[in-house]
Parts: sequence; C-alpha cells; structure tokens
Amino acid sequence: MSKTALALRHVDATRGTFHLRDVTFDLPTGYVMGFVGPNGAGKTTTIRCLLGMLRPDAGEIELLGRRVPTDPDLLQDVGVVLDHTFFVDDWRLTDVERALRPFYGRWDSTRYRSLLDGFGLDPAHKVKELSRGQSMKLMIAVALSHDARLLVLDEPTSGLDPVARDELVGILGEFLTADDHSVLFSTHITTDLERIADYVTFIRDGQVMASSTKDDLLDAYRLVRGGPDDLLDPAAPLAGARRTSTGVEALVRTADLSRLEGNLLVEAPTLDQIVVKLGGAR
Amino acid sequence: MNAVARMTQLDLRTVRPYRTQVVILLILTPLLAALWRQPTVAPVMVMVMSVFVAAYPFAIAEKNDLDTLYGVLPIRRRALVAGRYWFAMVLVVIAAVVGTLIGFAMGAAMGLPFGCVELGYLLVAAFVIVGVLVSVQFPLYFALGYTRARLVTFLPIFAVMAVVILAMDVLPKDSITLPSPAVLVAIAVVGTVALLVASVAISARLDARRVR
Repeated sequence: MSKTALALRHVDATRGTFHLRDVTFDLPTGYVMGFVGPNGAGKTTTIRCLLGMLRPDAGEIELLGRRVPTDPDLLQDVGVVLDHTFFVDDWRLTDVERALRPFYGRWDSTRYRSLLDGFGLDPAHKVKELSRGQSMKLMIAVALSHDARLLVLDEPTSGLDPVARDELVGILGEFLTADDHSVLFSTHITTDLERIADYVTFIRDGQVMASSTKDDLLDAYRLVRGGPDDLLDPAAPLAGARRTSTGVEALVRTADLSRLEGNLLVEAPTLDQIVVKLGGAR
Repeated sequence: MNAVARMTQLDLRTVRPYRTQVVILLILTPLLAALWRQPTVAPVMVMVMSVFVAAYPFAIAEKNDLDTLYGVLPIRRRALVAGRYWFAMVLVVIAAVVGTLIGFAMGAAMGLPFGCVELGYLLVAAFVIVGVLVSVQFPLYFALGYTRARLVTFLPIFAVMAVVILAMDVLPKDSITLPSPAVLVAIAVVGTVALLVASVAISARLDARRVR
C-alpha cells in the first residue's frame, strides 16, 4: 500500500486561457481531502491533470504511488464522481454495468446490484430519468463496484438538496472504513467537508493558497470583529475585511492576532468563513 | 478481450439504444434497389448507408460527454480510436450480410438474376467507397468533434469525386490498359486497408491533440 494516495508537485498546466501555477499538495492514504475554492479556481483542471486527462506543462503528479501519466491500468483503482453523469442518456442502469464491466478486472456485479438496491435505484431506469441525487449515487455505485481505492469527486454535491448531500457523506464514511481507501472531494460548498475532511487544500486563481490538515487550517486563522472605528489601520494583514456602518469583520492569521489593537471580538472561524474570506482577498 | 475489442464493444453498446433507427435504415435502404429492379445493388446501398451509423458514436459521445468516460476508463486513447474503426468495419460486415440476404430475397421474389460474380465486384466496390468515406471522415470527427466536423466531412469526398471526373475527361481512354479483374480487386482491397491504417494513425494524433 502506497503511503501517498496522490501528490502534485509544482504542477503548471494550461486549459484554454486558464493556467494552473505551481500547484503542490499531497494526500496521505486513508484520508479525505477537501479541495475547495470558488468556481473557476482550478479544481477541475487540477483533477483532469491528476487523472491523466490533461497533460501538465511542468511538475510531477503521483497517483497511488505511481507517476502520471502512466499505464492507464492504474485507473482500475480510481473511481470518479462528477456533478453530471458521463454515460449514454438512453442506457438503462443495467446497460451501464454491461458497458463498463469489461474494462475493470475487479468488477463485482453482485455489489453493483446491491448498491443500486441500497440507493433505491431501479436497474430498469434510464440514465436520463435519474434526478441529480440519483445520478450522483449511480456514479458512486459504479466507482464502488470496481473496488476503487481512491475516489475523486468533482463538485458532486452542487445542485443537491441537503438530504442527498448528507447521504453522500454517509456513503463516503462507509467507503473510508477500509484503511487503504482515500477521497479527494472537490467542492465549493465547504459545509460538506466540516464532517468528513481530514485535509483541506484551498485553491484560487489556479494557485494553492493553503494546504494542510483541516484542524491546522482552522487553527491558523481567527475571525475578528470590531466597531466601526476598529482596524482602520491594522498592524497585521487582514483577509476579506468587510466594513459596515456598525462595524468590521475580517480574517487574520492567528500568529498575527497579538499585533491587532482595539476592543475586538475574536472567534474561531468555520471552514466556510475561511474560504469565503480568503477567496475574496486579492 | 483486448483493449481495442473492448472499445469496439463499448461503441456497439453506445449505439444499441438507437438500434430501431439502425434496423429501419438497413431494411428501408435496399428497398430503393427494388424500385430500380437491381437487387445486386442492395448490399452496396446498405453498406454505404452504414457509414452514417458508424458516425453515431461520435454524435452520442458529444451529446453525453463520453470523452470524460473514456478519460476515466483504464484504457489508452489509441485503443478508443482503433476500436472506433473496428466498430465501423463490424457495421460494414453486418451491412454486407444483411444487404446480400435482402438482395437475394428481392431477386427471388421479383424473378431477377442475382449474379454471384457481379455481387463480389459490387461488394469490393462498396468496401472501397466505405473505406474512403471512413478514412476521410473519422480523422475530421476526431479532430473537430462531431458537430463541427459534420459540416465539412463531405467536402473532401466531393473534391476526390471532382478530381476523378476531371481525370476521366482528360485522360485518353484508349491508352489505359487495365489489369485483370482479380488484380484490380486485390489492389482495391489492399489500397483501402492501407488507407484505413493510415487514417487510424492520423486520427490517433488528432484525437490526442484535441483531448490534451
């Protein structure tokens, strides 16, 4: 078992007019990484590089201990879930299995049927008849039926209702009971990650702004609030400062907290607040 | 099963939901031969029509984002490209068999002759037409995608036809000595296969350029 589920080192890539620059982060095997950032930040481009679907201009990528691009057989161990299905609309769910089974050495038909049953999906239904939540479950059923060790989820929860999002978290929790299973979960809905992410990588404008354990990231920042006259000339850099007639709110590095003056209210931020504030800071 | 065969099978499964349209196309087309009272033309017509069906996977893939599916499958893109050509060849063989059976039945029902030698030459001619069409059209589909390519896929065919017609007018007919029919058939088959092989190589490069 490889110690690292995935690693990107100094990756530069171009997709149209968009550029990834010096993207570096890694996920140890057995953990969940939340890959967060606003729309258009570079999450999908990074994932395409990771899966070998986009060739980087520079840098190194490792997936389950092997360099990418490599023998595509490596993808036997990777399950991919996107915010939309990539199957023929007119396939029935039985057709999905028939089409994909020949490509995977460890495909388990019994497990596929059992997962569909567990997710409440009728095998006779067509792909185009599925709701957003059902489509996401179908892709997870496919990923789990070929015994993937790494799940790569790209915005799987966008457009899902809270119940379906909660179900996904439950499914991922079950997947992670095996020691060698890992998850990269790209999303801009950070509340999905509060419960399950062990690591968080934050990307903006094609550059990684922060990558660490979730707890370290939460400890690294504090949310400060003050009156309208506070923090007018702060002694430490503020991120995403929002000033209204009644006061000011901003994110500050915990290490810089002692440099700030005034009657400030200091709180531990949520992941969502960190992403919003850092995402807005330029 | 090797990777190319798996991709061919995936293409067959991709068009399977639309089999009713395909069957109607395969059955209705030779009926035109009945109107001409030429049953031996039936297999040629079905084979040429099969080229339209051979483009279905491109259209369906574009509509359903199957490029992403191909990207996450544990398979090389080159296998996808080769698999699609084999898919076209499988269709051509099916079309030849179906067309021949319909032609035989039509000939028997209408009391018209259905010469086996003539049929053989026509099948080879149809294979050449299909081979040229596939060899020209598929690289365009791989390079541009179905929607953009379909606007231009027939332009090279018209260009080739125009050159042939002009050449026939210009060349002195008496001075051309044709080889025996058997040699002509061999040249046609080998030439078409060579064209297809070259087309696969070009498509693989163009596909890699489009996807990466």
